[in-house]
Amino acid sequence: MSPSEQGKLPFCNTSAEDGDAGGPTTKETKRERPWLGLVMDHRRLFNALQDGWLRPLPPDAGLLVGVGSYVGGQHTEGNRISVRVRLNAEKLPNLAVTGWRSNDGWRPCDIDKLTCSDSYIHWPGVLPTFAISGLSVATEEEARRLEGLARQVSNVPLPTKPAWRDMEADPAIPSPDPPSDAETKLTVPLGMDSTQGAMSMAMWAVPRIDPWLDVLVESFALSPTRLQEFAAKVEAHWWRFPPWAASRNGLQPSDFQEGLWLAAVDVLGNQASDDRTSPLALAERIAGQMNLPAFAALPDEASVWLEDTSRILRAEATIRSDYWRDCPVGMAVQLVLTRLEPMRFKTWSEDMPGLPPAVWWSGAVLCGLHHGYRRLDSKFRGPVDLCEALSVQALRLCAGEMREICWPSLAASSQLRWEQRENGFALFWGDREIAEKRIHERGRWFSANFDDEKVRQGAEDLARKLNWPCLRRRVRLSDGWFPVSGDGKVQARDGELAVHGKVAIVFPSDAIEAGEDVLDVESFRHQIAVAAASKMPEPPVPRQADAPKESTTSCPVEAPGPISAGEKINALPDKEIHGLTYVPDFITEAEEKELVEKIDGEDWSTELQRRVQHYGWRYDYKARHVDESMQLGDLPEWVADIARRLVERKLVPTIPDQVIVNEYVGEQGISKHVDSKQSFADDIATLSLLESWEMVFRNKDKRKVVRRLEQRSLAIMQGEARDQWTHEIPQRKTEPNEGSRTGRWNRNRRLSLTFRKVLDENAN
Amino acid sequence: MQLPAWDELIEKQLDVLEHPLDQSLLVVGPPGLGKTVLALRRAQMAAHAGHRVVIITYNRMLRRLLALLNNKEENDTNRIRMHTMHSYIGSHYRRHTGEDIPTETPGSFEYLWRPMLERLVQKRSLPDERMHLIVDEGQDLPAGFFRYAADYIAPRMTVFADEDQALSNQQTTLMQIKKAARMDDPILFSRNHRNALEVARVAEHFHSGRLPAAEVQRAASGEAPVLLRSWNLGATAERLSNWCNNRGGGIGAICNSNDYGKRLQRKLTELLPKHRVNFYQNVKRNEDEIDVLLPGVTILNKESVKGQEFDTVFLLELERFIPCTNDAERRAMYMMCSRARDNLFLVYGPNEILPRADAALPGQNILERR
Repeated sequence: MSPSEQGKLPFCNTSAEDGDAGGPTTKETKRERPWLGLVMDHRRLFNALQDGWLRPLPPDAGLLVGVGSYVGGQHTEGNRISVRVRLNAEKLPNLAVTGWRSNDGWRPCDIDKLTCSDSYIHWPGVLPTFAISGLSVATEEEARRLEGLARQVSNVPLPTKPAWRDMEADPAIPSPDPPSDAETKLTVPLGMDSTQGAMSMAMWAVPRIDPWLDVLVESFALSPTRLQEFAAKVEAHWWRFPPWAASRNGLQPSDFQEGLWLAAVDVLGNQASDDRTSPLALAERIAGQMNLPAFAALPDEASVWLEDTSRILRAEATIRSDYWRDCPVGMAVQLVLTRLEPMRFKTWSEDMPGLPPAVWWSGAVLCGLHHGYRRLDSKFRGPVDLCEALSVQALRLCAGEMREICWPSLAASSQLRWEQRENGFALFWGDREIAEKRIHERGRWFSANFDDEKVRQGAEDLARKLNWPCLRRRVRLSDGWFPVSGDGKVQARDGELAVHGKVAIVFPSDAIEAGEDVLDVESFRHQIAVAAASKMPEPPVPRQADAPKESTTSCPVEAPGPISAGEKINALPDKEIHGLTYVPDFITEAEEKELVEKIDGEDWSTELQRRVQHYGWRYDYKARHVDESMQLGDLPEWVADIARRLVERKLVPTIPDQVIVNEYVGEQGISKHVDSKQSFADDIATLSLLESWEMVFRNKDKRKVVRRLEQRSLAIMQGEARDQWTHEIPQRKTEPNEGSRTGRWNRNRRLSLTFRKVLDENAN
Repeated sequence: MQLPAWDELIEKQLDVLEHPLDQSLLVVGPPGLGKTVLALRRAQMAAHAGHRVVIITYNRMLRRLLALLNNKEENDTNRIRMHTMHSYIGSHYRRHTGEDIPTETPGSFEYLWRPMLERLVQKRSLPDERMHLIVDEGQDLPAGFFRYAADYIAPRMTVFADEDQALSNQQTTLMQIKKAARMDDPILFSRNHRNALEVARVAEHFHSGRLPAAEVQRAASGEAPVLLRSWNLGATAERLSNWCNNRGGGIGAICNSNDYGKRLQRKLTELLPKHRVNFYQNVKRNEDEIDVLLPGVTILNKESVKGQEFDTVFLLELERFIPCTNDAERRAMYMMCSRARDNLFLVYGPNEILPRADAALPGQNILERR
């Protein structure tokens, strides 16, 4: 190693390695900041990652950070791993710091004016972990151990994959003495953990429907009037007091719901996270809070709620599933108190599927408020950009004096906003995208095109089925004068007939033509946004005038799947079985997870030994056929999406319209068979999920060929593979290890999705 | 079963996870340190480092639990296998000697360890250098096994053991394990982090082991365990189903007789149409149908509940378990109560509990009477 390689110069060349400087940076106008580095043991790193801030020890000491080099402890205790942590200075706020130069000693400087001649700086307070751009350790074993440890806990997301380097080549500077007169400028304020917990859960649980996104966005903007208007629109008026609002702006609760909401926010938000109070005591405190003059509540209402809630908490009664009609906030608080952990809370959506969005979202946010961010599972935290935005915003809201600190990548003047995306929406902080989410059935209904006849019809059917008050009776009258009696008045103007008071109008029976139900679109969309409903079908896809020929089947080709159609497909024709094509990793792990979640959320048919789900058409196992009467309707979007992908990638010629989901548990299998040739077209595609099991193929010559259907793979049977070979899943407890003659592992659960096209003779 | 938050891992658990994978390790502690999960974590890390990992576990339900946990992880699972001691030793011995294991009486499980070891010396057998053996509930295995394993199966071994939990009288003591497997001093857990403080207090009331009772790590939940009188099976089932509907999570219902378990299952299936209600009896070996990781109710008996943990435990037919007349009965009560993470109910009835039995229960300040 030559001295120049070890020297200081290379460190100034920062961005190539960091590569993630936030926001647009032009080299001409803005000088790049050198990277910062420090060394710590993995326990300290993990402590920092779980709440998002690296704290100095002791708290007012500040942190010594190398400029283009690593500063920190050389010794680690026991089996701890020494980690070199690199920070992207672009993500840090513009603070006046103290820097060390070998010629000048300690001198004040600005973080955005650091140069290569600065050796290290004294950072006046906590460092955000979202600024971490690199982690490195000494050996591969340590890198694996570090990753392994992070995988064993729920709330420590490693920001990057740890690299291993020869530490000798990249020496660390021993910690110098800090400047004597440093003051602390950046601290984590009290109550921030709770606030950030509530914000994260609000993001995770927000009903993905336009008017709710408006409420979310306005609740961050903290402009009372607009928020009040939006919250009222979704029948959640108490949301004019977002739990993260520092002050109530002198607003008083106007009714019991708002009072209860504020009391719950006060009590649940002021809990130290390690001080566990029993749910019953929390309920008592909330009800007690209501008796304070500021809440102006009727004491009766609070005590009735408390009694009800106490009985539930003692398992003497269950939560009434329609309690939200009388007391939405009371129900939301009951949900939280019965399941204080967010992970447990999550299951409410399955255990009580008829919850209105207002109750569920309010409950989720209170749950986050009580639980806090520090222990929050990474699942609820969202992508790193979102965490960054919420950290900074929570800091601004919780500590008034730090509101003025400038974070170059998240301007204080910018606001949270959302934008529609195909199949979803994106959240922005100013111009910076911080998260993207998919929308669900409700969101799709809300933004469906109601000018389309099919959509309108579907909406009418849905409204009728769910008994929603959004159908209007249209009556047509023909020429005539009709006598009016009663005290009221009738006026016709501006396309409306206005009645004041009560009137009776007499029509001759031949003047009224038969009436029909018409959909009031606005009130339908209102119901979509606010009503309780367990399961909702997908809105129909409007027909397109120039749709390709395949679109005569039930699902027209349009939007490509999440993976672009141009992506390379690894389709492998089988050498022994003609017509068998194998596509490993046809879907990603994330997609697999999503599919399994979807499937597990649907009802299973238990007519067979194994559980099955049918989509598109039902298959009659006894008669071994499908016919017209068995059409179940279009494929749901999550299945149709994959069906479309099969065609886009030219794996099958026509879009499948029938899908069977099979669940195989333990020793379950399926005996040898050929899929019905009367019922289905030539192409059969099977997607395997969760586990890799073997499939056995046999032909007339008694040849037996075994193929392992890997998790996430697709197997397509056409031609000979489809009708000259039988296929089966053996009934047994174990599967052989991959690529090994010895050793087997216990089967647990495999799901398969079989995509088929019903022949037109059946479909007519 | 969920991953713990980083804060929730205690120092000793970290000591285990951070331990160099090339060294043997003996971990000893009372119930409640999550040894089962820790064993699996250690196995995954060893597999990640390229070892061939075999987990020896005695309890079939536990094996199932491990298989399920394992399944949810992404990598390195192919190199992990699980066996019972009998199945593994049986095939290992046969592979190395071509003979069946010599036993005290034909077909019994009382192996003659000394002749077995001598036979392997003759055959010049050597352990597999890449092998890492992980033993769960080591106290239930005979000392001869550890000598056999150390000399002929694996150069490194991680053993999790517990002196207080053993149900049988054939338990192996720590000293025997340590000596037989030639291990260093164990990492000794003295802290209990499974049970909420209130639950631990009730469990410790029945403590009778040689190790000190576990110092409780978890904070108070604020909810004391409750002693309940139930008038009939229907009332018990209703209370259970309310709890399941309200609180959710995993609920264990421990009963004494399989007949009671069957009737309870029937009633609960009726009351909880949307939830999982499973009954596990050793004799039926239906553990493959049970997904103990999913929320719902699992009915178990005293034997099958071993090694399990639930958010809430209902210990039913209490009058059949108390008063305890010997150490084994006290150990069983300790073990059953300590299966509960957060909430514990002791249920008796319809008859009033015997004064003698009531006196043997913790006082009102620890066990709430309703």
